[in-house]
Amino acid sequence: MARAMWRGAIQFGLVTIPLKLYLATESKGISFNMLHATCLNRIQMRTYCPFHEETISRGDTVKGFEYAPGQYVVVTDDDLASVPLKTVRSIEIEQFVPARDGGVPRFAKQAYYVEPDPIGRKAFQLLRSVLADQGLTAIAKVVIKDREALAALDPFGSTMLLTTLYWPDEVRPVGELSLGEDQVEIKPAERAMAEQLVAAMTGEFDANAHRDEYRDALSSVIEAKVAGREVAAPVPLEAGGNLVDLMAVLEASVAALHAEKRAAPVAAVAAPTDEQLAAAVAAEAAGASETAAPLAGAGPASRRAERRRKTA
Amino acid sequence: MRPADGPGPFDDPDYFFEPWWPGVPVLAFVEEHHLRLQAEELADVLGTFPELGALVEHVEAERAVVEGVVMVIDRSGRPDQRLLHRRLASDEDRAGHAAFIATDLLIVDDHRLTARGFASRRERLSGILQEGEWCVVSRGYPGEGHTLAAAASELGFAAVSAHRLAARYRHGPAGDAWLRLPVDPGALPATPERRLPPILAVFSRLPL
Repeated sequence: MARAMWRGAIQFGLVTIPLKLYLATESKGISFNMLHATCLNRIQMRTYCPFHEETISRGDTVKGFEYAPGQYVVVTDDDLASVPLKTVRSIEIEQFVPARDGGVPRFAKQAYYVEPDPIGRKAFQLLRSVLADQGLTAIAKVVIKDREALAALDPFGSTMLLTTLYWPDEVRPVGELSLGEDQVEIKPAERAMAEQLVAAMTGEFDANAHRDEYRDALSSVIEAKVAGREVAAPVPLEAGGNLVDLMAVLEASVAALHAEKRAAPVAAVAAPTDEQLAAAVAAEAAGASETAAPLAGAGPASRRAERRRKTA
Repeated sequence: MRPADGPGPFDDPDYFFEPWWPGVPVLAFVEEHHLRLQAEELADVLGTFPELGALVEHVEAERAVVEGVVMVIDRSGRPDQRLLHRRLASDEDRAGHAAFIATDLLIVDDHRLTARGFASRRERLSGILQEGEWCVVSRGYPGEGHTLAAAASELGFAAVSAHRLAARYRHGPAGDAWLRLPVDPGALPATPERRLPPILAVFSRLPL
């Protein structure tokens, strides 16, 4: 396990459980370095002061809070250390809520595994087992990286998982979305079909059944390049063909079949003439309020093919 | 309108035959440059086929309801069921290119055409749809079911569609107004939909 990200203690009531937090997740995305295109050396991001027109070291920087455009107040590490927070070194449990409470939406930032110090193991396991047995989640506050975060503490296997959450005022209201739910009328048949679809796709979640296929493909490309092999260009699936060509193929196929029929000794069933079709339309449209146009049931290319057939 | 299954190809001057395009039947609602693609009994599938949003630019009417089929075509312009199923399985998948084949016109501007015959509706459809590389009016032939079936078979299509030229548009079962005719009835499994994976269960109810 990597080094602990945080040391402190769970506090609830008079109980204190010293522990450490470890990152529960890691990004496996493939990252790239920026190189100078001409020499392929890594470029450097230097800290530059436009006032002194010189490159400075990070040690020469301080934290500044912009309280007005272009106006800053300097905040030092001492200032941060003096912030009167109860949760600076503790996970302060505020309340316990049902673990699967749908009314408590969670917008998670980061998950941490919790490892109790030896002296706190018994209390830790006691808390974990009670939460598990009663199906509860502890809602807590904790300061990590100079920021106080709302967090949820859940039993997770033999340990617990601390998940930092966005504060309510960091969550955008859904009212910004155009949903129009009051304008939607769902018919019983539609609901029944949706329920069937959901039922057909319902199963146990298995994370191992899902893979980052893009990362796998990209890794293959990179490995091939490293090995000096020719990289097979992926099929540009986004690019589609031309549907008009398909229609042309269909028309050509029909035209060829017509030609075969004309050559055959047995007469084929004759297609109706334009006059016959126009008569069908006229008869049908007699009761309609609009003026019926002459029939041209197929598209323009089809009509061309029809003319070709007749004039052939 | 839901088609009825027919026994196989036939020739009849009262019918208009076209390929049974292998895709998702939809109703395209165009109103004031907004588009809604409603699959049968399902919600808007425009999110699955976002490139069809430009369909509004091809409809030369302020308001129209066009019946058609959404397919996903490959680089050669042929419909690809595998790409289509990938799209349907994930809104993130952008495989191939979505294409729209218009087959019927129900409403245009202030005119409701459902009381008119199919031939008349189809004529109006050809007049309002500006065709493009991925947006066309279906091609078909009146009277010649067998010829069309042979051509469709060469293209790898399993069935042809037969619209009775004089039939009005019907909501629900079409009866003899619209038939789905297997090109080779003996070659088709009785219930091909059951072979689809569960994720496509809902689409198995659609006349794909």
